[in-house]
Amino acid sequence: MMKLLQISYHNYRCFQDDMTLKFNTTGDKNIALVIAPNGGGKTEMLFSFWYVLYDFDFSSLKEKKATPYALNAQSYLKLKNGENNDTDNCYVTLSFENDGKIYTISRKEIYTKKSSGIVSEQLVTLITRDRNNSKSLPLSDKDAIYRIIERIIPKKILHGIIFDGERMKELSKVGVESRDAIQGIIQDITNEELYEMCKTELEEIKKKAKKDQTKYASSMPSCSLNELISNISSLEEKNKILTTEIEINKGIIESNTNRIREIEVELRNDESSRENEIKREGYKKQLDSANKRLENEVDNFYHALDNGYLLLCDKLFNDIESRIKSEDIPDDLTVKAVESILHGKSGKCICGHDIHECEREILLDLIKKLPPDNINSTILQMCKGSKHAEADAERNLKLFFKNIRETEKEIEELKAQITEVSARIIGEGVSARVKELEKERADLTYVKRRAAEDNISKDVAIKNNKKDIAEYSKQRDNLSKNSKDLNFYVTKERIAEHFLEALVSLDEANSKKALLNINEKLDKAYMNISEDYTRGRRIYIVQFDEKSKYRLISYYQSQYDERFQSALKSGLLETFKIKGLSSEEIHEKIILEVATSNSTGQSKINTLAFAKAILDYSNEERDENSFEITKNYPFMIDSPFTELSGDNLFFSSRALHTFARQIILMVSAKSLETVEQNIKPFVGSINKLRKIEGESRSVLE
Amino acid sequence: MALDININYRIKRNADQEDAMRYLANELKVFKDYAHILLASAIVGYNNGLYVEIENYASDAVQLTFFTERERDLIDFIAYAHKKEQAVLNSEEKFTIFESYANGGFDLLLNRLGVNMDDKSKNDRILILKKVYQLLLLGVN
Repeated sequence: MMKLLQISYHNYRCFQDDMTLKFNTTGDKNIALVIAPNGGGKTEMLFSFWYVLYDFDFSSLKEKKATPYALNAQSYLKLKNGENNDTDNCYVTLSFENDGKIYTISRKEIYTKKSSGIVSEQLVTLITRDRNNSKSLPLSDKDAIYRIIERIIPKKILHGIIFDGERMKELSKVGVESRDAIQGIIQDITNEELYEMCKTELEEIKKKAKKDQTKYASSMPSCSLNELISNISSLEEKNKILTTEIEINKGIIESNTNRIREIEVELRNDESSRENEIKREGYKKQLDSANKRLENEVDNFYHALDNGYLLLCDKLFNDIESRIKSEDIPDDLTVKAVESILHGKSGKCICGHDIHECEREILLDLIKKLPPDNINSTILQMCKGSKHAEADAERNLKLFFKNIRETEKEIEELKAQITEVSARIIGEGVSARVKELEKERADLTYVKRRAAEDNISKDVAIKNNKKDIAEYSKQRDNLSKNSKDLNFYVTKERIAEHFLEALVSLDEANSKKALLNINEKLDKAYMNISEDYTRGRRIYIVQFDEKSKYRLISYYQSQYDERFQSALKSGLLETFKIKGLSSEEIHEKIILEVATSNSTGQSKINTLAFAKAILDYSNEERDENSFEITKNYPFMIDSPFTELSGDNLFFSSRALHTFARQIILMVSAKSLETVEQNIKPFVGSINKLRKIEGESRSVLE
Repeated sequence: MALDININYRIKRNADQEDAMRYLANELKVFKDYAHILLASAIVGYNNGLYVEIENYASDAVQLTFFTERERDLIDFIAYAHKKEQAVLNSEEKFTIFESYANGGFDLLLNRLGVNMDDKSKNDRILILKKVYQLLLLGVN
């Protein structure tokens, strides 16, 4: 288990004065309180953990872009206005315990004024002390330090254990950052890195085997083998580039989508465009829902086509019936019956007359036409049965097709309404800003569409290349049969490929299992800390839908139940099952249809529940043979209780001490008052920061 | 009721039609599987008198078990209607008849559905499904 012991500052950001904060937490008293007013350095303190462990890009902080450096701002300004070669420095030192050892990591940054500007140089040191209190020599190799720290507390995991106010909002947004953040946390705690390492190793083996093939082929007199191997490599390279381009396009689509959402918020807030924007959003929601419905209806139609071929059989059935009728043979007449007339003892027909020669010929001819079992009646019955099935098939197809037509019509109408409202948004009386935003929105939408179309054609190109690769590989394998060495390299490549496929399957299965587990814990955590739970609100991390995977979404149980029942009645659930969807996938599809948006308070509670779920998952005991590793991290959170009230505030503050074995909680004094009763029993240490008015610094009281 | 004289029989396909069949079933998802494509093709072939024996066989034939009982009845119907005698129902010749009509009818089916094999990006699944609907209900053969 990792436990933070203390953190020290010298001339760092707003902590100009030297200070050390100790986190004395033990057993039940697992909360280390840091009390600071607004602007008192709580966020700075949170990010100092990032900084000391992995360095930090201060320009990424939205409101701190003016001071993108570690040095205290006043010291930086003094240096800037000073003489060339003047220097100043800052450092952060963090001590923590992990598995019986104490680690002290220090990151020092030296700033020097040059004629070109201020340059900085970083020095990192790491000292460890074991159980016997023997100290190691200070390690100053950055890469070596990075590897040690990565093993104890991987960089990605910091997203899951450090929560400032801005991050908490981000986690509940529908954007790349939140999804990346959630994905990063989940992938790390499910040991995704291990899979990635194995995949990398196998890719290297495959690469080497290919190189060996090329080397071998170039030494052969035959050009065709060389050419084949070169073609295969070139196509694989093309596919890699296409795959990268597809990802870039996906990023463009994602970022454009986010920007469009921001524009829509602005349009809603502008008086001149508010009404129309709200109308447009309503129509777009309806359009999304109609498009989803169309997808389902097309699938239903596709499945109903199973018996569709019967509708083409009228001519066939008619021909069969005509044929049978034309024979003028009674349906159940058999060869046996005719033979008994021909070879009867009396030599006469059943009517009593003699059988003449021409009549005998007819009867003999009839015997030839009749199989031993005359199945005319059977065939006719089969035809009848098929005709009934044809009628059913026709009825179903007509019904599903009608649904498709109606939904398409609805979609066209909605599109027309959206176009009309969009024209009104930039019509008379709107501000210049609105016109500008609307133009930007239209441009972004166009770029999005083009990127999506580009991805479709790139997907097709990748598929075609894969087909060609398969064909060339077949030819190469045929040629390689005659050469032991080449065969060896080809086999090596194949084995590496198979192992990769197996690893990918294992990774997917592991990820699926983990996400199911995390979603269960998420539900429990939400139940414990949210007042909305009793009102039927639920939260869920998307795991199957590729477009929305890792999104944290909310929905109401009553709406879910209603949609579920309607899907059951309409046969949609059956269709899903026929398509091979698992019950978990069906559950998710319905959730996505009824997903709702969140208020700021709800976003915060969602994120707290997510943090709890992740921490519970990480700290869950697993058996020794499990591929997953248990990790225990401290939990650092800034102002979790602002924007919360009522039962949400009560439940979340009461449950906070259960989140992790050590919690660094940063609050303002005012915020603490609202939750002191619930927090106080679990507080192990208190640090108070005070802001110095008129100066950008905070001190420890 | 189908007289399955050999349940292990595999319905043969034309190798030249392999790509298009795979595309229709697996990518465009207009037909559920090869069995359905063969049935539709055979009926279209029968309705238009397109009996063409296969010369170039695909390596991958379709097991009879992939056809439902009703679908196997259709194979019998086509053979009986073609040969006009019941004896054919007891021989493997009925499968050859079915294969030949399917072979002859497939290209016409593909043409009627307007599937563009040269530029697949031009194929709109919903549009083609609608053409299937028209083909079935309006009897455009």
